[in-house]
Amino acid sequence: MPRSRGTALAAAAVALAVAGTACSGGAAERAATAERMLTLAVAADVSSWDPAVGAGGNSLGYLQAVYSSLTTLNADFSVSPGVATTWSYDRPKTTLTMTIRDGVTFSDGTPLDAAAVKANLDRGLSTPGATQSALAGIASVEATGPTELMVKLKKPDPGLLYQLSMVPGMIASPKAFATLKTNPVGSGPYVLDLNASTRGTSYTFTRNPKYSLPATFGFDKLVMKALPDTNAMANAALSGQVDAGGVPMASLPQVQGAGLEHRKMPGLIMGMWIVDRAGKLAPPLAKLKVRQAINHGLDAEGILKAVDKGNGDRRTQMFAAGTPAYLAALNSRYPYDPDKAKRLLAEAGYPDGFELTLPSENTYVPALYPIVAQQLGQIGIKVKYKPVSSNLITQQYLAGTYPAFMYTYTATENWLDASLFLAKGGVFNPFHVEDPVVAKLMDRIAVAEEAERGKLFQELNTHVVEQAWFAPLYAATNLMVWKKDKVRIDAAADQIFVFLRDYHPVG
Amino acid sequence: MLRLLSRRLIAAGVLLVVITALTSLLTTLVPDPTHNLLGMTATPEQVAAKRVELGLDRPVSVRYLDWLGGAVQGDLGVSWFTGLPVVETITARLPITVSLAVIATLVSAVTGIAFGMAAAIRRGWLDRALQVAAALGFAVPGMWVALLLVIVFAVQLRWLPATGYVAFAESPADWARSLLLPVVAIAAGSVAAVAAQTRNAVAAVLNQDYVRTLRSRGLPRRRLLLRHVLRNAAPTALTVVSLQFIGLLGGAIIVEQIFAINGLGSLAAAASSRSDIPVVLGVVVVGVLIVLTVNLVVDLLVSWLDPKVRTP
Repeated sequence: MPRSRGTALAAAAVALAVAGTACSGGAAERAATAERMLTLAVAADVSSWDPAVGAGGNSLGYLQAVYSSLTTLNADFSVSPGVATTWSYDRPKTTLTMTIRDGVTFSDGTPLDAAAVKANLDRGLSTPGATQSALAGIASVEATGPTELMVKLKKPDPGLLYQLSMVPGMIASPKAFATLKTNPVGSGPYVLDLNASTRGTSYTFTRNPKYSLPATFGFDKLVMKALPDTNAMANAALSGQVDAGGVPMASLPQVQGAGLEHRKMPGLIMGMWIVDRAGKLAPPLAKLKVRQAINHGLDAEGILKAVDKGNGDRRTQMFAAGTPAYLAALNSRYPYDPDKAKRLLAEAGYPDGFELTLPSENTYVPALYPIVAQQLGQIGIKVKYKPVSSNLITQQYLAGTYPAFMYTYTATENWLDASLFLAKGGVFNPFHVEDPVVAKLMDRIAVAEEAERGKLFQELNTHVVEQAWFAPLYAATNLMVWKKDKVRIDAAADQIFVFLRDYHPVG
Repeated sequence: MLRLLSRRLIAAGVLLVVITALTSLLTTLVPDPTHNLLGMTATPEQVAAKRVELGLDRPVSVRYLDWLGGAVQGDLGVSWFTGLPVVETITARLPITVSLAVIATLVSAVTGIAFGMAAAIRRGWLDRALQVAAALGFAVPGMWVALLLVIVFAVQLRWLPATGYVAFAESPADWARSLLLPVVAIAAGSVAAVAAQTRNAVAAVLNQDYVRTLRSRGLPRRRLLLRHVLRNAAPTALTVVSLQFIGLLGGAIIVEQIFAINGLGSLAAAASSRSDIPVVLGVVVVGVLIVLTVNLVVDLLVSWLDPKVRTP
């Protein structure tokens, strides 16, 4: 999803919230008499406690404390069992059969069975909101037994199991449907203590005594504080008000000085989206060599240093690191080479370059625009900026008002990303450009077995990079900090989200 | 007095309608929140259905009249994002912002009037120091003061909390601790403004002939200053204080963000950034009502202090 700098940190905080509190401690670790409490900073308030409304983003972490989802998301965006223990597709990949974990109950004592799952999915499908959009591929849901569920799809949807690990797959107690907006009732590790919470500011969770899923949690009490301002977030972490949170990269020296532990996490992918690949508004962009020239003409390393003080990693691809589609080798495909860029432009029939009108805004990455104009100017592309209100950029960009634009994106699951910005009907393909190779590969991915899917995604990624549909520059770095005497985090270096299970209590 | 009051109330009602109507009109310029509500994968049909549900398919005038009809009955609608009633959302946050603004105003009024009077009476180094402080107070942004205070007193010394608000009912001591830094940050600039204005007003009154006459008749200094000088300088100070209060409400938006205080300011910022129109309109109504009430109270006070104001 597109994000501002502020929300980039928010993404880190989502990660935190996803990661939240869950710890693989277990009873032995909890033997100490003192109550183990974890206070987390989250970059926004929860939008709604109702999974059918489908609030994602920063709401995800809050909801994960109280709800269990059908599948569980792994670091590489694959899924493992959650409320559903097993699942399988039929041959055409249009029927998903799931087995629901036996013996799970909601915190209000209602059993979590296939009928409860069906009630939740049906409710999500009939409630206008993000959950409805995410589950739009579902034609019908049927509980074929107490623990057997059959989900019929309109067409193959390889992204569905990912969606079922997120808010759309969270299962709430059917008895509590009417009051979920403010009082969540799920089968997650914690229950919300409304009396100890202040709406909009701070939410306190205590252990759910009826929790019975395999993942174990080391903290007895969890507090999530909504801190939308990045400076407030940093100050809360530096002053010890919270135990963990995402803070601006600029805070790193203070973080180190304060003795906090930190990790750098891959964040927003920054770059140019060359959306008018058919050349409707800017005919030169229809030529492959022109798009490749743009990629060679932008000094990504230099821009990274100038805009983000070097806090990031060079990228030429839009898919997230650590996911099946990602190929590290692709990142060296377009080294900065203005001479080559000029040659490519000449070969494309533009030896004297051309004029390109792009939008500019002054909120997200204002420092980027003069650098891009100057560097593209050096290879002959004269960039003219049209200022756009920061509030309106996504709307205007998605309406196909501009042939290209500078944008930031948080890549997540491969199929979701491909559907959004590669597919002909994708929201981020505003000119609805169709590429036969992309279409064919996506058709194959849709019905491929898991073992084959990763290879096909890599083929798709390689093709898109070769076609220079985008001119990605780098993935910015998010900074996450925590008190090392209280929390230990075990997560891979390129992990975008730190999951609940990655947190462990210390001492 | 009654005539003044009724005139002001009628004007307030008209102003409220005009401002909310203008705000409604302006909301047509903000980005359509439907995609944010439905997610990026929403189909055009889902987007269209949501727009109908939110009433975005109807002309802005119809939407406004609908809203106004509810508003006069105390129903400000429901937040598009949280689904919670706007009145309930605002009621939960109003006391926080009001306590912040009222305490900051009291601090700036008492401190500013005291400094202003002292400077006007004593002159000399105190007067010069006040003028320098006033210039600094005007020049230094409240946001900078807030950040500085947090770094020193919360991050470095850890004397006070860096973020958050504690309700008075929960713990009066923690309530005071949670408000101390935000109040100082907000009041810093307005103390200077109130002091400078009071100083000028008091100095002008002190130069009046009747003050000299009263002094020559041997009126005690305290009585002269409080009963005659301050009362005559008070309308200016009161007007400045009321303007400062209104300004402080605006300043609260920034300070609430920095201190992560969940008041009206942060609500307004969040609702505006995600085009939650019912909440934006609700905040505007409350903001206008506060401003109108403060102006009315100040008008009444000034007319009580200065009978000349009462004559039409």
